Amino acid sequence: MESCADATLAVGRPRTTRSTYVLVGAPNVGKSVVFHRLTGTYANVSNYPGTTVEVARAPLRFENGATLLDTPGVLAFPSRSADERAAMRALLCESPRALVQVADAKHLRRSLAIALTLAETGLPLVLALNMSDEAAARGVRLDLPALAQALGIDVVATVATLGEGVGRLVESMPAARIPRLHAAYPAAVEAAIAGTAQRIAAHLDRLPFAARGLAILFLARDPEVEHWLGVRDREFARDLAATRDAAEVGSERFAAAIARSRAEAAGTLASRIELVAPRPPESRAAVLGRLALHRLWGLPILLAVLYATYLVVGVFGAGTLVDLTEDRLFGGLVNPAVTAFVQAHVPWRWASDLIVGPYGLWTMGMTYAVALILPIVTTFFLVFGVLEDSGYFARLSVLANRGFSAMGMNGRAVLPMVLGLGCVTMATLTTRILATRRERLIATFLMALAIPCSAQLGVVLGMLSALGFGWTVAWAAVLVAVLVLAGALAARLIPGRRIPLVTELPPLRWPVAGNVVKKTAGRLVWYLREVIPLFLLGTFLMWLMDRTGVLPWVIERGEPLVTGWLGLPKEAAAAFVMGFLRRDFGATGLFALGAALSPAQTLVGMVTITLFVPCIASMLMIAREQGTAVAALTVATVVPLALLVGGLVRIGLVALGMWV
Amino acid sequence: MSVDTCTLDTVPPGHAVLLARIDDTLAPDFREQLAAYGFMPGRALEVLAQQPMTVVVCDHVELALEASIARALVVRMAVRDAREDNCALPPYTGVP
Repeated sequence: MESCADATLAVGRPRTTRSTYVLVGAPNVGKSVVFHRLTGTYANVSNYPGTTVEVARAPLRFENGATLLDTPGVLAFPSRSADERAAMRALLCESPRALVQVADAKHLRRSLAIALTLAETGLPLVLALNMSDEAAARGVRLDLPALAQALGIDVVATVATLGEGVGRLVESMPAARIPRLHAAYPAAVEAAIAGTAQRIAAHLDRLPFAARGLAILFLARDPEVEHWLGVRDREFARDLAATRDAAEVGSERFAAAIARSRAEAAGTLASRIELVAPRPPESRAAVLGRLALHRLWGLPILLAVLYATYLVVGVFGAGTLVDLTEDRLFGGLVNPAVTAFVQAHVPWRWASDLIVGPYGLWTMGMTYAVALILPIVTTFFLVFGVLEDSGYFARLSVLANRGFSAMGMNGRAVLPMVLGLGCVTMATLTTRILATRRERLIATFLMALAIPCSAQLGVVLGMLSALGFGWTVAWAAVLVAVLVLAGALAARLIPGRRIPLVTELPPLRWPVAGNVVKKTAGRLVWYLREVIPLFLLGTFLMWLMDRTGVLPWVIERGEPLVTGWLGLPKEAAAAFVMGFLRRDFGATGLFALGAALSPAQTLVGMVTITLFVPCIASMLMIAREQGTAVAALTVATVVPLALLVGGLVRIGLVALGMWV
Repeated sequence: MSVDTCTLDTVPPGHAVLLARIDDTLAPDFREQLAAYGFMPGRALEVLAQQPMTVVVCDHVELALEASIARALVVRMAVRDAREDNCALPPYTGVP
């Protein structure tokens, strides 16, 4: 575990400035939207609890030299989850000039419990009560002047997605005040707090915030505060812990007493502030949200969502747009012109081959990246952004929970798995939202194995749909079976317990178009930065292997496996070599064989190449997130498994008399 | 468990209940998570659904809870009709 008391800083930078504002708040209250409004920088924003997987930092728009830090969602302090610990590290390490608590106006009690905790740090605070429109729609009316008066700080009502109230928030931040309201604790707890705070203040200098705040968090066993104290002075921390443990013997744990007192104080204050209003009739969004989980309507709604996704990504993106870009733009105009230009101006055959040959950097690398994949990924990210902001994914995680429990995970894993259909590399990073390392391992492995990314999906579906719908269904059925079986097996082999699902269901909302577009643009930039260099590298390696005779050699060596076990023509071996570089390269390699393959051979080829190793970029991401050993083990498992399943599909087709 | 309490997973959708206590067998992580969502003794919970998971409203927040969690929440009816016990318990027989 890292701490800023160590030489290295957990959130990335040495603390040199007093002009850092830190955004804090519960999950899914709109911190990242506020962050975007205040900095103009894109952070990972969505209507799904827990989407800030990394701490984001950017310069503030309205104050020169000041920066804003966006932290992951905090349900409560003391910190328990990885997200909460990251947020606590930010408080300990950043010496913030002020905190900006973003809270959901609908959940006043919970928001005030966090505000009271932040008040104990003695840092200046501004409270932004966000989503005040949704609160009003639910009949929640708040007496904000009374709340500001009671807390002694500025309280601003905001609707961050629309920019409402953000101006007032900006005005309040530089003048943030230290809250005056504090929770009262039972006498014994107060005595322990006072004693601990006094010892901390006397023993340590350069405290990140008030000694009382540190003492309360330490007594409640916040692991980050315990670690911070331990790094500053191990003996002292041990001594404090001994005193705390002795005081807890035979009485209630400090953590429980502190949480209860805080909740009571928050409840008392909330009941004064929340004005009773008649409950308005249920909104259409609320009814739809309920229907999305209904036992009769849930499935049709899911199918409608999937069908709409297919129409936008499959028909419009992979069909209409790719026709335009690949066939007409690149195939008809750009590539012939580039080829003619290069052949006329580059005298060396090898060099012109490198640029415009069969494995040319332009004709293969850039054409795939821009003409084939970009339209598909763009439409996918658009749909994903709409679903994310609508709040449907939280419902999907509830619907999928049972299925995922068979694979040792809970429904929360649905988000990375669906994102994997867009880009497995990005989805591997998103597995951080899962609670345990075990879940992250299983999800990462299953995505590397059986989730085709949109680039690959485009090629695979293009090829299979030419053969007929039945072949596409067969391919999907094999993949789902492999996914479920491999998941069930992984759940048994990887030690640890499954974590049951507890998830908040945010209200369904109409996504704001501008936010979806910004988010999609952010994801596309990320994708292109990752993908284009790797595409070019992959193409270059193919060209090099072709020139040096390695490719023919590998194809010859792989022939028995490819022709004998998989029953494919020997040229297909080249496609599998390409598959090592990117899975969609491999699929495209098979695509190039086209008419040489029978429908049954196409199915075997597509199943094998889909299950085959993930692309270089996602392998690097797996190595970064899970370590090189896991990445190596993934390849060592996935490759033989892909060949095994491919061969079994062939045997099955032979048995059915469909192998021609 | 006394006669007028039951666990949350047995409450039919559409009914309001009061949280009596959280069973000690529930892991501390979940107890703290639920406490942060406002699940404190005496808090009103409205049950919206029991399938595919238990869905309750607590403090304007809709939460979906897996059965193993819902089973650990002991509740009593918020508005108790002497003739009707909405928990899936032996029928109310009345006091002689």
